[in-house]
Amino acid sequence: MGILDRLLTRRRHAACFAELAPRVRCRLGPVCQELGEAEQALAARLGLPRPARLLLVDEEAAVILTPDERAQTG
Amino acid sequence: MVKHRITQLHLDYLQALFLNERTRRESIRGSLSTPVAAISFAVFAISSLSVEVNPAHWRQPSTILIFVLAVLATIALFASAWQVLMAEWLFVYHEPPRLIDLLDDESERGAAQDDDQLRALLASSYAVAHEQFLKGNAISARRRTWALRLILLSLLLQALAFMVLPFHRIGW
Repeated sequence: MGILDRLLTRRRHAACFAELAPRVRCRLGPVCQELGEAEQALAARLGLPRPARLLLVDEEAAVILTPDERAQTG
Repeated sequence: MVKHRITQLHLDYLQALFLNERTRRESIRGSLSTPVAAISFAVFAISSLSVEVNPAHWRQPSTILIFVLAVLATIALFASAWQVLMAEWLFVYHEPPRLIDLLDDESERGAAQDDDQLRALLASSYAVAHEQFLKGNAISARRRTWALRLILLSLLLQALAFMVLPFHRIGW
């Protein structure tokens, strides 16, 4: 029944958006760090009180990382 | 206090750059179909060549030459397939901030952001996203180009092998 439910029900939130698997977190760690550093550097250069907070989308795992999740991951 | 004044022109310029780079991403992905089609053709050509060559005549110089060319063509073919695979490998997208994050910034400071500050924040978002896309696209485009070069090399080597084939048949 679980398989039928997955096939026939369009879910509001797919499982892959629910939480970040440890292996994905490990893989995206350097990317988050690099992005965070780029945001900090530009904010310092422009004199912004707070850096830009971009979204990161990983295609492999169909994961959308919000700024808060990025901070935890990086 | 914002050090540099970011005008609307700056913002429009960076937004256009970001959107163009995002579109370019999809065009690079689309253009990968060319080497993929060539790879499938090259596989078919190598299989035809292997049927035509008689391995019992392996001492003939023409047979050895065909063998060497076929091995080199196969290596180039696999290298091309590897480049196609890596062009898309672990690609991440960078998107501008959500509205809720922009509003959170505002509420945390307890005061409405003035237009200059908000414009600078958006401009920096587009600038960072564009730069990250640019790096990713540069890598993907490089791999796509190498995939094309390698499959072209493979096809040329196979063409040479097919040119030697008549000499193999007459026993040279």
